[in-house]
Amino acid sequence: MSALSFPNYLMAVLSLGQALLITVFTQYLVYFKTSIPLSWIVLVDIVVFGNTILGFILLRKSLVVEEQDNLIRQQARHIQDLEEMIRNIRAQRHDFISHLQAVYGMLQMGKLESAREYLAEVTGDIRILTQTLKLKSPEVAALVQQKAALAANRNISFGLVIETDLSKLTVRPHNLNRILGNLLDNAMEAVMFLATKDRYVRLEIREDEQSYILSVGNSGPGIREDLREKIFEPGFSTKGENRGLGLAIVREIVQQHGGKIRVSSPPTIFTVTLPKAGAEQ
Amino acid sequence: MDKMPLLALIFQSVPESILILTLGLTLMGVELKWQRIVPAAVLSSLASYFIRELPIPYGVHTLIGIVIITLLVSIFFKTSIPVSISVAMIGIAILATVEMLILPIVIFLMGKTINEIWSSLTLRILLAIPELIVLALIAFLCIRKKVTLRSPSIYRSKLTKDREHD
Repeated sequence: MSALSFPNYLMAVLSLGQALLITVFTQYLVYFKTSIPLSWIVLVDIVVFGNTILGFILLRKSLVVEEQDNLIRQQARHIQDLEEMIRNIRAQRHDFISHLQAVYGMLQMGKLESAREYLAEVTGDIRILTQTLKLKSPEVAALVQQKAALAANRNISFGLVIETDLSKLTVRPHNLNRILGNLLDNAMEAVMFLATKDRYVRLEIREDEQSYILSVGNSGPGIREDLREKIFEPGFSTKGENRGLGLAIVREIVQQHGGKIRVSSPPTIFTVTLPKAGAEQ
Repeated sequence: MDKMPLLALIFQSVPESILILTLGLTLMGVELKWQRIVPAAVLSSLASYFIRELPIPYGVHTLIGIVIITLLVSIFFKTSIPVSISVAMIGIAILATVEMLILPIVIFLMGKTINEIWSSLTLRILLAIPELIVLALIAFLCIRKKVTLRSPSIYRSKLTKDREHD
């Protein structure tokens, strides 16, 4: 409960305190055998009663103010949620209309194949959103969504398969994001020099009885067999100086959590296995 | 010094404390739990019994009583200190008011002066009976009619209880 509003509360307590003090003082006088006429007692009664009532009224006021404050805060939060929702709906509506216009245009030009591809992409966007909703951890879902958006910006087709909610994961979301972020960034970089239609990155998150399996694949060039171990070493990179820490970090995090990472090529697929909580290692 | 006989402790102080707590908690809209009110009341009565044994000027024990009830309420009912102070103040203020209002009536009916009544132990304990009855009636009415200084509809609904934790 939030603190009572201060000035009203103070006045209420003071008013009640005054009533109490007058009572105690009167009793004190009586106790020491001071004779007080009945009329005085009646007068004191009126003052005490009035003060108590005043105290109650003030206390009631301060409680009402507190209740109203709480209500206002709740309403404000509610309004914020609604505004956010309206913004999302507007954005979706806008997107929807542009998509329809695009498809309409393609159909009018008789480009059936392009329209089909376009629609597949649009539904893909929605599919990615729905897929990430399966994940229990909002941090990981956010990262996947962000990487999917990044892939879309770079004209990379992004395949996503999520068949588990990762609820028994022992790795903290922050560390899992470092693993996934590094692997996805590498995969995207590996396909960037390809023609737009050949760029493809795929993320699969699955589970078996004992562990979670994350695999990140790309359509880029394969990795030579003699390099498959070296790429995990700190400082090793095919991308130039001051690079090559990503995979080393990934391997470190994976190993810290009792997991494994392996790479197969071609096509290049990095597979990370992370044990579930409570699973025997 | 104002000594409190043991008889007065059991028959006057404990019920009085129970009624103080009940009234304060009801009016502040805190849920009543008898299994917490009774031990808290017994503790506060015991505390006030021992305080009256101490050589402190008359009247100070009322102030110490407020502090003790405040602490007991915040410990037993897990309320914030401002709410606990309000509970103690409301309870004791109602008690004092009722006491002060009944006094002239009793004096008028008995035809005795206050000094005479207070000097006799029996009369003092007897004087507490109408006071306790009036307090009990007020408490009963407050609980029955759900009289509280808060808006009951807002504070007793489950929805707001959940939202308070936001």
